[in-house]
Amino acid sequence: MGVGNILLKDEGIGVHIARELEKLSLPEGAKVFDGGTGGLSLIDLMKETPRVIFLDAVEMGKKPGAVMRFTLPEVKMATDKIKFSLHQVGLPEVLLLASLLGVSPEVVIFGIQPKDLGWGTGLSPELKKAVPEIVKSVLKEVYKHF
Amino acid sequence: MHNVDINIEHVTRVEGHGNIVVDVKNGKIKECQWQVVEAPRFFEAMVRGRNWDELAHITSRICGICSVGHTMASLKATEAAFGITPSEQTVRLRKILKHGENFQSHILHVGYLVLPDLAGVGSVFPLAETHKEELLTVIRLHRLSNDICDIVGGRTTHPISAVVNGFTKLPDPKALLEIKERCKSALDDLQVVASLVKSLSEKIPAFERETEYIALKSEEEYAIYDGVIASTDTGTCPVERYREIVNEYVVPQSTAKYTRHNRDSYMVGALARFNLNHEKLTPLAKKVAEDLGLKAICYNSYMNSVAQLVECVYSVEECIRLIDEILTEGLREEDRRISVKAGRGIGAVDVPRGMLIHDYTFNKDGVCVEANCVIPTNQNHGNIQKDMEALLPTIIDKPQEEIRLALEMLVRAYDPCISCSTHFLEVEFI
Repeated sequence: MGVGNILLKDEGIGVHIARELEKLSLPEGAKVFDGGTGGLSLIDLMKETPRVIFLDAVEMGKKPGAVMRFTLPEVKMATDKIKFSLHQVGLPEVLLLASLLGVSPEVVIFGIQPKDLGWGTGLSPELKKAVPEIVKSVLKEVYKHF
Repeated sequence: MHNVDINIEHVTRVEGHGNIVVDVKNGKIKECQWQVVEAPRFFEAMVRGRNWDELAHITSRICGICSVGHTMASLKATEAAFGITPSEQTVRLRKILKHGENFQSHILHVGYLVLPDLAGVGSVFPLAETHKEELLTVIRLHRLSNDICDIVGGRTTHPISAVVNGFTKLPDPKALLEIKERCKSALDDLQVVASLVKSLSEKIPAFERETEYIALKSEEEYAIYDGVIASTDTGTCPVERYREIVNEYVVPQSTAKYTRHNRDSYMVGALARFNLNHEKLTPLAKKVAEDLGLKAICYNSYMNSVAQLVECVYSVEECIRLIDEILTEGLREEDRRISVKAGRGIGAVDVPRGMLIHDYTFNKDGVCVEANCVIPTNQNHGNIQKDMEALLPTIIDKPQEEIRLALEMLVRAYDPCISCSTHFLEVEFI
């Protein structure tokens, strides 16, 4: 599930990666979703699966294009800072509400360090260059379960 | 007799930015204002000089929630200018898209923005504990509504396949069948939401102020895609004469224009549509209205949210009926080619928040030279102001927090799309 806003350059990296994955043949039972800015309706999708791999731009203080794989127990989501607005439903809000509702598939997050979050529909050169390696990492994760 | 000082900067749980300012000294109202502070958007200027086949894509960006409505009004205006009548298949598909949007916008509003007030909480998060199953139902309905727009329009937001005189890509019949089955289950889900609203209905303030209601009206059906302009005060009027109805004007407290017709203000939206068209609802939608205590003519603006829920039922039933009709006729590729000419066309639809009009003028090459958009929410701002002025004296002796909540709920009941409404200001320096 690639999430993010493709109108804000690297903020949409999750969606860009999802679109690359959509071009590939994946095993039966693995589905790619462009979650975009789907917000709370993503929770209904999460109900239907035992496992979700989220792809999203994450500020990690790393080199642009760097990827980190983590699970929910390994991170502290800034959920205490949530000022809920339907215009800004990000991954922390979706995951918090999902867990409150008892919707709890196994969640893995691939965080991708963005460089440029300005207005624009393309990726920064560093992120564009990193796309093939990111796709490979995600595929490795997918095939762990098949 | 007490003092009330309320300064709500950017009311929460509405789309866009608006402030509520109330100043009461020793029981006397010094100030009571609904201020619209959203930045102007300039779409009417942006489309000048653009080609006829770009306008719907540009103007759909006026809004992310009502992008289908803007697309439809835009396409209808362009088709009217060129003298094009789209096929029955195109109209059916567009109606499914409109109903999908109506359902999507209303369920989002009632489920996420209004329910917290009725349940006495600040946002949707606490509802996960107190109303878990109902919230999961709302989320499921929200997802279905997104999928309807995705499958017919090619995208959840900003439909890409709906174009002048047709669709660039027809939906997959299998996908339509699946949507139809999910819509049938959705009717049961909507009963769950209706029961919840009914159980909380004593939280809906009993406020009444007689005003004029304006919406599209049709002989054939409860109008959201097509119709003439109708007013509860003055009867019907052709869409081409819309300026006689809207009479837009500028006020200092708002970056959006106001409108007025037979009175100082009028209301558009689900309640207006219900008041003008209720007899054309399906039996099931009528029953839901009756169960929730909604009867025409209803003058309580807070009941707009109830009218929205009734419309969800109607829109889902219409999706089922229209999908049946399309599949029985068979979907076929159609010739979308058109000839352009100089001319002016007006497209009117009734979107979730009310009557929407796009008015375009083209030159002989099909380039737009002039545009005017009349947005539902800017038609409502004046009515919100008048409602506030009428409501405040009746609750002035209550504690400040209760006054504040009542005013916020009033604004929320209109489900304003404030960003849509601040589209163009013409400033004359004298």
